[in-house]
Amino acid sequence: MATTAERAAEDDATTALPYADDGKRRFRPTPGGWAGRAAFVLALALIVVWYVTANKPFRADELSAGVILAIGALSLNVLVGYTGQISLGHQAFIGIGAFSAAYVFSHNHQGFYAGLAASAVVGIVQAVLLGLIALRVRGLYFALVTLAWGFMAENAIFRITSFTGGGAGTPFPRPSAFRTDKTYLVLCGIVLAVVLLIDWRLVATKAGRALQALRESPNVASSYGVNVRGYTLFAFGVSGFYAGVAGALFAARRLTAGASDYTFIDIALPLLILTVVGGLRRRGGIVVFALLYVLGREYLPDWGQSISFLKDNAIYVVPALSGVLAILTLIFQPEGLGTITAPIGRWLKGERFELDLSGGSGAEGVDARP
Amino acid sequence: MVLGIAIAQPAVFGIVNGAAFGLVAIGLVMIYKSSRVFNFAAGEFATLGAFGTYIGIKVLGLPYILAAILGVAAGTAAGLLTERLVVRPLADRPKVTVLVATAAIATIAIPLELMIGGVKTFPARPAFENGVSIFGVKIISKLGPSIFGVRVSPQLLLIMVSLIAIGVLLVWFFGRTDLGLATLATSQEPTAGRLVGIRLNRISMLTWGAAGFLGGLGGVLLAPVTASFTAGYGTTGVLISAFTAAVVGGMTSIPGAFLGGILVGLVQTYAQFDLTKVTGASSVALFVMLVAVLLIRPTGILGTEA
Amino acid sequence: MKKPVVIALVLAGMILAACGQKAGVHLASGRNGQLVNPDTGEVIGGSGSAAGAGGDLSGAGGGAAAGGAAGGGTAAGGTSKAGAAKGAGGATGGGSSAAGGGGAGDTTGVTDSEIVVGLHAPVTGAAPFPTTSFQDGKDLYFNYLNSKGGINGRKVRVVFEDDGYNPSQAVSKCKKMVEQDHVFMLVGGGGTDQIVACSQYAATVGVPYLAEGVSEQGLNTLQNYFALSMTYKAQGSLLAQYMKNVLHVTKVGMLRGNTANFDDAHTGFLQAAAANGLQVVFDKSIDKNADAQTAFAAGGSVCSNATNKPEAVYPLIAPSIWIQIVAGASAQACNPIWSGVGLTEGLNTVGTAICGASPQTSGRAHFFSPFPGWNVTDQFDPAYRQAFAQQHPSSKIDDISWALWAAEKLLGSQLAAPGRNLTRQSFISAVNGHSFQTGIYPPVNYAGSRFGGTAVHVVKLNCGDTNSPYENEANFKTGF
Repeated sequence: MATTAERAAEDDATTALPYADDGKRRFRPTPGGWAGRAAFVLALALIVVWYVTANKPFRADELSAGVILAIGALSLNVLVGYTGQISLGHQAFIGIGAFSAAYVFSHNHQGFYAGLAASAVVGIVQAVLLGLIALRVRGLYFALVTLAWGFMAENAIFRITSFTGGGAGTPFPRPSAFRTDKTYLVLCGIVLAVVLLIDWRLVATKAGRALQALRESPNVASSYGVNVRGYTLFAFGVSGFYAGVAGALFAARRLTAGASDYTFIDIALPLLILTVVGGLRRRGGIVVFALLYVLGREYLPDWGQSISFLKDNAIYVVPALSGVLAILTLIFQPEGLGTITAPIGRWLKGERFELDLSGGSGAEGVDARP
Repeated sequence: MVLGIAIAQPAVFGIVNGAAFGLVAIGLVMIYKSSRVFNFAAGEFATLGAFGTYIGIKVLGLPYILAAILGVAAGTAAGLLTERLVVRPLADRPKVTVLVATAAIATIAIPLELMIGGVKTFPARPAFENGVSIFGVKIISKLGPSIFGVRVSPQLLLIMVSLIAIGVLLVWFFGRTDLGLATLATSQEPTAGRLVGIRLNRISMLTWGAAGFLGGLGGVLLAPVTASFTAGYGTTGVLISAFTAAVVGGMTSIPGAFLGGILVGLVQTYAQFDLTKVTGASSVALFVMLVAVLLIRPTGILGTEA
Repeated sequence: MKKPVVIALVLAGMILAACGQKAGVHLASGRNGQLVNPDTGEVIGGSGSAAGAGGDLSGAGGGAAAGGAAGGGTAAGGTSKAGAAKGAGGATGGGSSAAGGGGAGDTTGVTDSEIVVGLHAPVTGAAPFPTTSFQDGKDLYFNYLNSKGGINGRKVRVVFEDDGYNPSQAVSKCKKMVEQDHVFMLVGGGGTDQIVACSQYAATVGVPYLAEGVSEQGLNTLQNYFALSMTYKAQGSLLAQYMKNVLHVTKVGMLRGNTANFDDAHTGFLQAAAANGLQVVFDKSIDKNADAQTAFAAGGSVCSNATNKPEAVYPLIAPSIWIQIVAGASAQACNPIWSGVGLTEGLNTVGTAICGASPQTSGRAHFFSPFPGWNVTDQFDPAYRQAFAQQHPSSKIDDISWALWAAEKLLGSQLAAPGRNLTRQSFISAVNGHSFQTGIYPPVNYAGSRFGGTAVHVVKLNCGDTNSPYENEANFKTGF
């Protein structure tokens, strides 16, 4: 077991490198330690079950939104965390997925799953096209290109009536097996699990190491024989895949794909914040923060009952607070809030529990190439 | 002589819009020159400018000129605050961190604007609503003079005049004053600047305050052209145009920002003109312009480095 | 925080899903109101074939196997994966409507003492409406009616939601009202895209849907839908007559939002203009949510053809954008007569904004409306102002409450029609094929069509009247 933990620790780029000079290099939890960890997981599961059954309504719809947002943030995380390129136009990635799915459903009379597949394919294609530009244009300038790309999608592509239905939008209903809010949450959860799995394997494999080398220094990487262009485009494709799928889920959750849902303010900015605050390459932090974000938006009016200001304006307060949190995170804890969840993750894997807030993954903050 | 309205009207609007973009773009270039940072909060400096003017007129009942000053002051204050609270603590971080932090400022500003103002569109009273009169003699009518068959309202004229005035001011500032020269010097060589005794903090404050001033001025002038604005319009409407203007003109060139602004304004307005063809054609045009410049001539027209 | 927790969450969710799963086939509505199987995309029901005897999608007419594809029976029965075994009777299975969403008497939203009505309208996003106007007006008439005993012994309660002038938000809100508030029926206050989207959603869950008349395509096949006033297309032919014979113009134009839902209004107007000898010299569309600059530029382009300027222009777009368009036009010294269909351009909030931005429009804006001008309400129903003064003594009254009062009065008469035995099916049957008259809205006649509007009122902008800029011009016109 220790070997598994050890290998996992080495492969996973988000955990600390093994301490070379630590005499107790192989920490092995006792059976009691494993029992404790299992009990923790069970307790967590019980809390979730309790929450879900005790709360009526338990806001399954909002949680779905959170899960979808998390998938979107993971998409952005691939770009920023693994290739070092910033995307400020993610509403394009997500919206194109949504409209492709809806188009395939409404015009080609295919079902939900075909729509989902279409959204993935189109997401990959449009991301790779953008990636081609990223090969020539770097860093901050590429961020500008993505900003322009996002607005072009928002203002032009999504308004093409024959593709998107213009103001009316295009219907895209949920599949019959996952029709209610609760079952739809399950579907979203399944997709999130798949995305996390792919992401985890991505990082753990040779491709992941290549990407890490790429991010830190493309010149050095290419001198080592890493195919810089190929891996960059590959990363863009993966990002587009996650985003396209998130778009399809987003549309089906609302039962319609409508242009006014995929805007800079509503999607691109929050995703950027989520990725930053959750922490780059810290999937756990990102997922947790995404859920907290939507739950905060839902529950803030309830908690702030006595403060009428909060009650009426929760929908504005939460994004504003998240922006403040993002700035504070960037200043004081650039690795993001994932540094709080990461130690728990490491503990569960069988390491000693250490609250090491410096992250230790080797790269700090938003470290895209200037 | 009346040129076809189809040609003249977009030209006039394009130049005027472009002038406002140019103002904001100058702010972007100044910041880039001095600290190699992209300021994504610049859009909200503009919105705050418009907002401040609106509050001045609606809530405080001020006349336009005073309300405009209030608006510009709001933009400047935002610039200074940004510098103090966000830029300075992140001074030694990678540049992209600052970019994301400034984008986070937009994330804060926009919901606050929505909260205070609501989701609606705000009316923005133009300047000189009844024309301009000197000693009872009306020299500019309410609708403005007709240039090539197109009416150029007093508001539009005001934008042009402001831009020219600012341009002259900046040339004088950077070329003739000690502070201006110091700012230019530190943008080239910060260490040398420090060695010579230039206080970097003050330069930083000045640069960001100026960016806030220019952004706010751009917002104050631009909003009344369309007689209204919405929360976040600075970021969704002005920011990308201003950035494209700066890139086209050259991110390190202030005259380039002028030129770039006019070009972007013209391209956008002409692209938009035949409205039945493509909705959002101006956004397409912007994207194409930006990518073309970055791929073909990354230094921009007048810039000196990529 | 990796796989173990994620798996735990997914497992927990699945346990719950198992508890929450509802039987029944889920139908979805594709374009043009066709019924589509969401898993395979196959079109199950098409125009007119989806209805059973009761004309209602909740499978009344003998609940055919593959879920509601009764009547024309074009479905290859039971094709949907999830539904084949469960199809019978539980046809649409939408939401959590209590009586299983099917069967002969769906009484969701109706109790012995109460009827629940769900209303959605664009409080935000379309025009600068004050929120309080909707809060005060949403149940003004029904409160009044309740004080007089209600409808057949039941009181009416209104659930109101802001759809934000956004169709997917509208569907979200309609879904919430159906699933959580268990409304009996849904009503749309305004906004074409939102009405079309919600009505299509309502069709899939068997909920009756009524709204002011908007487009025809996409709605003419929905068996649970009725329009409370004339559609845009029908109004368009009246508009052409009005422009020719009342405004005495020959050159006209149209400026509309680019949504597919306006297509039939557009072609209808073009045909009507040609039939009346009007020349259409300007015909453009801009984005439905165009920003101020685009709208302003569009307005400026109206008179761009110096030799062929339109004398009257028909705007079919959200009021807040129309206000910009007028400003843009007048900045270029272009001041056509603005004339169009109801309903939102003719509201006083909009009129006040127009008068503020472009005062020369006074006397040069005429719009059709389903209700008479606000300055003459007492001629049509004096109970309105009395009721408002009584229910909201400290609020400022405006024409939004009048619009809602007028609509609800018609709804009230329709809800009363089936008598005490009120179910969704009996409601649809009682409305279908019958006519209703309230003295405020023009009479509606559903014999042979679900678009029942028969006539229009006309209002005219008078900036001098700051209390009610839109004044009554003409009433109950079926032609000009």
